[in-house]
Amino acid sequence: MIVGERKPLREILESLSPYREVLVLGCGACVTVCLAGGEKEAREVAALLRLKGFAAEAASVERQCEWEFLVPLREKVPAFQAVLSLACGVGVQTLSEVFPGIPVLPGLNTSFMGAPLAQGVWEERCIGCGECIVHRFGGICPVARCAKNLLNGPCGGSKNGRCEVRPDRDCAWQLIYDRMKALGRLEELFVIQPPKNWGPSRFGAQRKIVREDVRR
Amino acid sequence: MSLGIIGCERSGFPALCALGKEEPEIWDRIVEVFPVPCLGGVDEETILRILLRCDTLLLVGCPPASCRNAWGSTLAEKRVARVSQLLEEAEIPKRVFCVFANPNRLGELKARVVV
Repeated sequence: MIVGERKPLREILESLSPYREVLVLGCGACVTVCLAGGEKEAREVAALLRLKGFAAEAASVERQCEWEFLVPLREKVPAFQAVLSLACGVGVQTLSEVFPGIPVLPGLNTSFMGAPLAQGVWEERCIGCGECIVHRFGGICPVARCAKNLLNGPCGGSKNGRCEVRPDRDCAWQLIYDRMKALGRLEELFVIQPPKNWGPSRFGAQRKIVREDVRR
Repeated sequence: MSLGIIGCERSGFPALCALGKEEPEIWDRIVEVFPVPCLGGVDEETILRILLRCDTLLLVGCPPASCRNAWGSTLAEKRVARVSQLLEEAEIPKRVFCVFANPNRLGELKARVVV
C-alpha cells in the first residue's frame, strides 16, 4: 500500500491562508490503513482548522485516485474555496483533474509503497521499478530494501545483520541469505545478476499502461 | 477561562457532582459537561469539537488502576497527549487535561477546577 504522513500543520495552515471555506477530504484506501488520511484524520484536521477560524468541513471517499469515486462530490466541492486532500499524490492529482476550478492542496506527504510491520510501524517494500526480480532473491527485494540497491551480494559493511547506512534497518542481503538458506537455494546466489534495466522504472519518462483488450 | 468537562459515568461525573456540592461556584466556570460511559470511547475529534466552546477541557475518569473498563483512562491519556501535541503544533492556545477522580478522591479535580 501507499504510505504517507500528514504534513506539518504549519505548512498546511500556510497553504490554506488565502482561503476560509475548506473541505478536508479523506481517502478510504491506503492512507486510511496507515492512519494518515482516512475519514478519522479528515475529521480531526477539520476540527483543528475550525479552531483556527476556518469554516472547515470533513468528508471522505472510498478512493480519491479514481474519478468514479469523486462523482458523488460534484455538488459538494464547488461550495468550498479550497479542498485539502488527505490522499496520496495520486488522489490529489485526480481530484484536481475532476475539479479543475477548485484549488486542491495536499495535506499529506506521500512517503513510499510499503507494508505495516506492527501497529504504528510501516516499512518500504517496493520502489515500483517496473521489472520485478524478487523471485531471484527469495522474495526479498534488494532494490527497495538494500540502501545501495546491490544485486550481487552484500556490500560487506553490515554489522549484526544491520545496514551500515541505516543501522536501525535490517541488511537486505542478510535477509536474502537467511531466506535462501532456509529454502535450500543458496547456490542460486552465485549466479551473476546482469545490470538492472532501469528503463521501465520512474527514471525513464512518466509511465503509462494501456490495455487495448479492455479499452473503450 | 471557560471549562468543559467530559466525565465517565462510573467515577468522573459522580466526582464532579460531589465537588459541585462542596464548591457550588465551580458551575460558573463550567460551560459544557458531557457524561460518557467510558473515557476510552472519546476520540480526538470529539475533544477538538468541544474545545471550540471552551478554553480548557478536562477528561475526568477513573484512576487508571481501578478503571471500570480496564483501559479507558489509559486510552484517554494517550489521546489527550496527542491532542495536546496537535494544539501546540497548530499554535492554538487551548488546553486539554486528563484528571483521575472519584467521589472519594477529589484532590486532583479540585486543583484543576477550583480557582
